[in-house]
Amino acid sequence: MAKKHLYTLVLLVSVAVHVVLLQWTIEAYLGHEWTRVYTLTLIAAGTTLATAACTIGWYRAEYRAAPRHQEGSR
Amino acid sequence: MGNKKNVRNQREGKDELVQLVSNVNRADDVDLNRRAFIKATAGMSIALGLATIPFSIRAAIGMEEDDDAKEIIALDELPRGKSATFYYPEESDPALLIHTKSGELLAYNSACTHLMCPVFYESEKEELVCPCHKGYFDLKSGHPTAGPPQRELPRIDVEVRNGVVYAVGRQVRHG
Repeated sequence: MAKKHLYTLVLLVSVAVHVVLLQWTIEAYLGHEWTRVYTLTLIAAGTTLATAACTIGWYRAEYRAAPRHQEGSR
Repeated sequence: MGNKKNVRNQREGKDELVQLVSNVNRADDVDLNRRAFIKATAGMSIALGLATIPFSIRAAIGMEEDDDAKEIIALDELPRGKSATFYYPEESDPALLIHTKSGELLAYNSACTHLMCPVFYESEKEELVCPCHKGYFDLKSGHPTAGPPQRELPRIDVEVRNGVVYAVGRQVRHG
């Protein structure tokens, strides 16, 4: 699988992961489970950094200059 | 011929080439494309991930509760099968003290864990009922038994001292 496709897949999966993490965090907050809130926030921060890294990787792969055609070839 | 050339360069026209591409909106193709979708997805994912941080900040700022005993009601004033409303630990936290038919004293915060509607004590069936969306809680444990609530009612620990019932602590998650 091309790197660009992998980055795209990771970005799509990360949306689902973050939705679930946010839901669990809110549930823990409403239940006054502070330790669980901190744990989930740490996990979400880690996955957010990974998402940001994937975004940068995708950006570089997407906008990489196409190889130039050599003279004389079509 | 000159007319035909002018028609071809216009958005609206009867020229065959214009009709062939009349369903193509170039402006949308520039703005709404695969790259824009992926960028929007990435932005949304990062925003969702960062949205958990305010909850941790709010939790860390100061959610400690005051555990001093708070007087609720004299036991003589609460016959069996009746309930009394009070506020614990804060004035914004309504609670219900129940004197069951068997003589037990139970207390819970009475804000329904679904959408914060007031919960009432149903003495005939000895259960706690939220009339808003027909949520039911078990009287002994405070856990939801039917309806939309998913979390138990916070339990308030009570003590009787010299014939007076006091609230002495709270457990938000229990059982």
